[in-house]
Amino acid sequence: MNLIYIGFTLALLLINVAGVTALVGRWISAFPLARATGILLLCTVFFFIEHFIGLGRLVWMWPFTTALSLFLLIHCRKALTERGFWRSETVFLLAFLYGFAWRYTFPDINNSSEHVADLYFISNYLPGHTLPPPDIWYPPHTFTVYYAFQHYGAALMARMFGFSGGLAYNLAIPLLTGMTVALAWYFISHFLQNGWYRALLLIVFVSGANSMSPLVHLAMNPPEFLGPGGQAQELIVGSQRFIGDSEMPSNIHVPTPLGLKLFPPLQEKGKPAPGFQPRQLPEETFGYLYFLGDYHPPLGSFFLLMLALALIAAIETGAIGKLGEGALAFTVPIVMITNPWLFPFQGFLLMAWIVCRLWQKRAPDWRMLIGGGALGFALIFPFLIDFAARSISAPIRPVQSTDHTPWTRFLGMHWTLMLLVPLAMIKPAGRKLAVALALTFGLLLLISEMIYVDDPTGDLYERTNTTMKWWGWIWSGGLIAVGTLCLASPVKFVRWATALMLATLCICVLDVGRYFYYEGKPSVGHLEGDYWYTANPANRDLFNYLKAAPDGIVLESQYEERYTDGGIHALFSGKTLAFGWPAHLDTWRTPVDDVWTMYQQTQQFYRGALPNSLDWLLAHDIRYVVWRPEDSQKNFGVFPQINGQIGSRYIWQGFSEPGAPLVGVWVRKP
Amino acid sequence: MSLILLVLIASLLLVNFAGLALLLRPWFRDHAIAKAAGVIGFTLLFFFIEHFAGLGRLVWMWPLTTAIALGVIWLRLEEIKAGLWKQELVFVIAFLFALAWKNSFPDIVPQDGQLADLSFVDNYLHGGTLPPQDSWLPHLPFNMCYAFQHYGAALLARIIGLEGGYAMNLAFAVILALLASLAWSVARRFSASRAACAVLVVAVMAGGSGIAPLTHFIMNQDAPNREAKAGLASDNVWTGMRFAGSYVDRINTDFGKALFPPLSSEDKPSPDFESRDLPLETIAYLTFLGDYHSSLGGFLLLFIALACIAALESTPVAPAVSNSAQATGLSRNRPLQALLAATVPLTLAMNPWIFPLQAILLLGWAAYRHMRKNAPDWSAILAGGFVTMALIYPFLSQFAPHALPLQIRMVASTDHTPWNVFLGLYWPVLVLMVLALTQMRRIRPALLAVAVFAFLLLLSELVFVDDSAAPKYVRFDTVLKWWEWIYAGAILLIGAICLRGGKWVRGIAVAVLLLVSTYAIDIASYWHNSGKLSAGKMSGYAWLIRDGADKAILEFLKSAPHGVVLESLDADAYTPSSAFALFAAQPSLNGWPEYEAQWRGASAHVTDNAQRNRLFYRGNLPDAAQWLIGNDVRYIVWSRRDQERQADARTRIDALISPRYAWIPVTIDGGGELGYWVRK
Repeated sequence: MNLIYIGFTLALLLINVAGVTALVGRWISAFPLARATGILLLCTVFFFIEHFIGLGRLVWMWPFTTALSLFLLIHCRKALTERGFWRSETVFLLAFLYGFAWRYTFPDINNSSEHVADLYFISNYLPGHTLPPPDIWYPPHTFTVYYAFQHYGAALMARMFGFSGGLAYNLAIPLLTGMTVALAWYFISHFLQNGWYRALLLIVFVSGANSMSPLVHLAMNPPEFLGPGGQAQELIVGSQRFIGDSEMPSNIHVPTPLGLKLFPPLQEKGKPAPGFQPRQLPEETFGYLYFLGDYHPPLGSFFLLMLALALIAAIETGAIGKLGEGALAFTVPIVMITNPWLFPFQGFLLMAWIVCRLWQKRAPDWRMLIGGGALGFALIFPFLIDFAARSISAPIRPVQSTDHTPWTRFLGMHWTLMLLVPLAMIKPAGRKLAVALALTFGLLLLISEMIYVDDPTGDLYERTNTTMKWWGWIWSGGLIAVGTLCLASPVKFVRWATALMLATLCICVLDVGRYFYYEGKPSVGHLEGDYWYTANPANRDLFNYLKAAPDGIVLESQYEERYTDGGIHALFSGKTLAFGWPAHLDTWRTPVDDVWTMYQQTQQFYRGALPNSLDWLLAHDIRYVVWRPEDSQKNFGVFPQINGQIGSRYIWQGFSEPGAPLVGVWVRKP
Repeated sequence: MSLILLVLIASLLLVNFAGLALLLRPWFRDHAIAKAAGVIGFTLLFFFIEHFAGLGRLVWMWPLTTAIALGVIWLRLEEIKAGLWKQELVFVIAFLFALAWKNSFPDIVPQDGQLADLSFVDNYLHGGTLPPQDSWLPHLPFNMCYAFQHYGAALLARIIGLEGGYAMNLAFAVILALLASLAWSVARRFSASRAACAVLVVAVMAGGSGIAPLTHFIMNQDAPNREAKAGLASDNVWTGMRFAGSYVDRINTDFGKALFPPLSSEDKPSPDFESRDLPLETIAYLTFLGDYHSSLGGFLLLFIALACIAALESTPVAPAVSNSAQATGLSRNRPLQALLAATVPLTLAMNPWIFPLQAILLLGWAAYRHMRKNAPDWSAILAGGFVTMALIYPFLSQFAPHALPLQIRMVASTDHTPWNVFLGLYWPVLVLMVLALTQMRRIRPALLAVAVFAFLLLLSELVFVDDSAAPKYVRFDTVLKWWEWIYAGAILLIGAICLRGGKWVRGIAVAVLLLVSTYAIDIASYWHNSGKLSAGKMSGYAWLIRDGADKAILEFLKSAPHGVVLESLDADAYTPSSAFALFAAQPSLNGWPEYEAQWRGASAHVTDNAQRNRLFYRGNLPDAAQWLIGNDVRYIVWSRRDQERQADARTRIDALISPRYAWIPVTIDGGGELGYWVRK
């Protein structure tokens, strides 16, 4: 039954996407671009409108949009077939299915990485309130502090098709990655005829390989006790987080003798100050995000990057009219609401293209560029009003000498791109675009080592967020743009050298494959994302009870500052949590003294040690107080005491079997 | 990020204002006048309508108005390309300058009257039917003050979806830009030289009084470090404005003492006599101060009137920009005459103190026209005056019965301005007047300008509005409102006329204007040397939330449902009290009692409530819960300021009100708990 439901859900979604593609394809002939711009425009226009008036439930839409899509696809099938529509759809479908396979196999939305935070972003937008919506992790405030446009997109899809937040999460990832891969393929195909070369590039891009991928095999020796899946995971993560992470004391990060020679660890005498810790400088590539499973903003910025590159390719080859230049400029403001860390870089890419056009003595269409940019800024303006006023200050600063990347590690992480850039410039006659793109990504890499965004994190994490966002973008964009143009070089040496380099990176496919094969798959097919928790019947019953209960604020224990299970009941049941992960709220809204106070008081409450706990619950308008198995473990024997404190106004609803750890919820009496 | 938002908002405003100006230009035949008239007319129309029915949320408007504006710009693109962009450029440059200043110093602080201005803006933020609830006295309507200019800022906030403080800072920049573009319009009517016009505009917008060039010679200028330099620059700026009565006593150089000998006890008419405080404030000073006072609106009406007069009375000096408007002359233009007349009743809603001055200016112009045998178009004048009067009538019918009665009296002999101080302040105007009189035959409007402003200056020395102030301040309010108007108007109009004079006259006039402009050096020095802790935080509350607990309190109040907020009073005015409420767009129970008591005619109720507030915050108000409920208080703030005053009072208060109010701590530290109470 579940399979039938999932199958039909996918069919509905894909028919609608195809419908949008066919419709927009009337104006933009390149279908991958039509698909991407159509969906982007749809989300942006809804996002704009809903800042004025929330449109509430939209589930009535899908019968109409599906009918319209089917009509378009059937009515125009001949013309579409002639224009290569189905070939383009096949590429997208394959890319979508690859992403879906990951989510189908590993659908859990749990406290690892940013899964829960991403579901929280989506859930804020699910009810369809006028934006900015109420913040379900910080009542009674509004959700204004995060750039969650792609999460709005997922929520819009959920509202249109009647999906739960978890299902939307697990379908939005393949949708977004599918479109991104289709765009990358479009760029690659435009410049490369050789199928092997095309496949090589795409494999490197999709597998998440980077320059460290082959080197970690030489430098790291993951211990046996991790098992084959764990060892593969260690190598995949190691390739992205090698700099800094590999030097952290751990029984997992085991260097090989060669690794110690290639990347000598920082010695005590080499430290600029006692207690100095190696800087954590990760790079998260596009393909790595499949493995990570986060529906996080870098996904959106990869999509916009590939859209920009595909537009550049289409403009250069005349496959798109002047509209393409407007669309190219349009992507820049959209980055601001998707992943503003990359706003300067997307702007830089646009500027580089303009300079290239001027160099080619073919001035761009300024009206379209200004028009596209202005339209983008106008559409994001209502969001920016609240967001810019409340977002934390994160100025761009020069990198301090102690925070620079150690040179061997820098080379290890970037050697491929560092070689691709000069290779692209060999025999530049008639290849100004190749030179321009190579210089662009080369310069951006240089810039990433000179400046950084000074966010609230510091010390060994001073540049972490910056390099995580920037390097992944530079590598993925550089790989597709510069890699493609190197493989399309008229010089055989350049083509072969590039192919050889990329082929060595493909060892990552082995790691990814081993991980996929060996890793446990207890939740396969449970696309709601909660099976890791609801496999336990008591937890399931509590979830179901809360889902059906009227709206109200939920209190849950939190024993860690972030990445905890505290909050998942409210999140999966669509309720407002008394307060979300404090460390996350602090990162987004710093300072949040009230949240930290609440955090302390909640811990006291669950220990039964909070004075006037009943008054405290009522003052915070708490309607549901969740008791989960961890509470019994952490606060053994305290349950009756708490029940005595609040029992006069809150009724206990238990769901656990006799003898099992208590699971249930206190519900405020009417 | 905040800078990008500011750029976007600025672009949006520029496009909308440009569209508005282009739309009205066919009637007013002058870009700057059309723009100013459009902005005021648009605001006035809403002001009128909302006295019948509040229009609520207006954020849906900007896409619509922007689309219309872009359409108009598109249709008039050829005209813009042909040269109209140059006139737009003046507005843009002035707007960017003003915005840059506001972006550097955006704080809306309690030290001056800025929180009072914010309370006015807040009153109009919610979009209810006017008159609105008074955010400083929530059980009464706000109908005892003139705040048309603040309504404009609130309208801006509602249309773009901004916070009140942000909109107030933005509106400040808009008014300054309108003033500069109007000043440019006046200057260009008389002078073909762009450089000379620029000198005049700088003197008007950034210049000081006659004291400005003397400040550095009459006051010691030693400052060892940047902080001291910023303080010194600030002192210099204040000296130029508050010279008579305040800063004249601080002169500390021999040269200064020779020019302005200190008042000896023998010279005093009575032993307890104090020098009269007689301020002369210029646009530059008000910009420096940052108060969004009604003076700005007064300047705007004055400059519109002067721009109309200049357009009506000047003959062309520069080649026509894009149409034949200047070539044919505008002396019979009816919309301009109607607009000129409209400025007079508008003062009643904007800044009633200048009503007589604006009326005299209009009458002076009409008399001049009759004298020139070129009678004004009385039907246009009556129509402009009557329609505007009708539009502000709903406001007036509320305001007039509650306005404080004031009486005009003759200035006593002891209250006159000392002659040397008067000369010190006004020598630039007097020199320009003499220069203009030498040109009377060539430039006819010189007679009108000199006669009107000389008469008004004389009048300001003969009569004053008696608002029962202490002897030192007996003329303070009158002079404050009148002199700034007279001085700015005289410098602009007479200055512009002099720029059209002969070589010598023009040369001397430019020299005078440059000397006046030296005031800008001190302002620039202040900008350069002062710390800009809140730069970019245009909502104006960065100063309030430096403490994490205070930030959490403000953030809560911003999101909380509408309700009256109680904050402690350390003083009756110029105190941070009510800041949390105002920045959160919530009503405050006590506001600034001194201000409210004055506006409400020495209301005992206001002062009594203020006294209860003090007792409450010390935990000594016995019937605290009853008092709070009786006044419909929903939130009670206990901030860092309250903790520092008397930390142990919180538990006493909690004991008194806990049956009806729930305590929500936001910080618990060694000093106790900070947070707020919420009505259960």
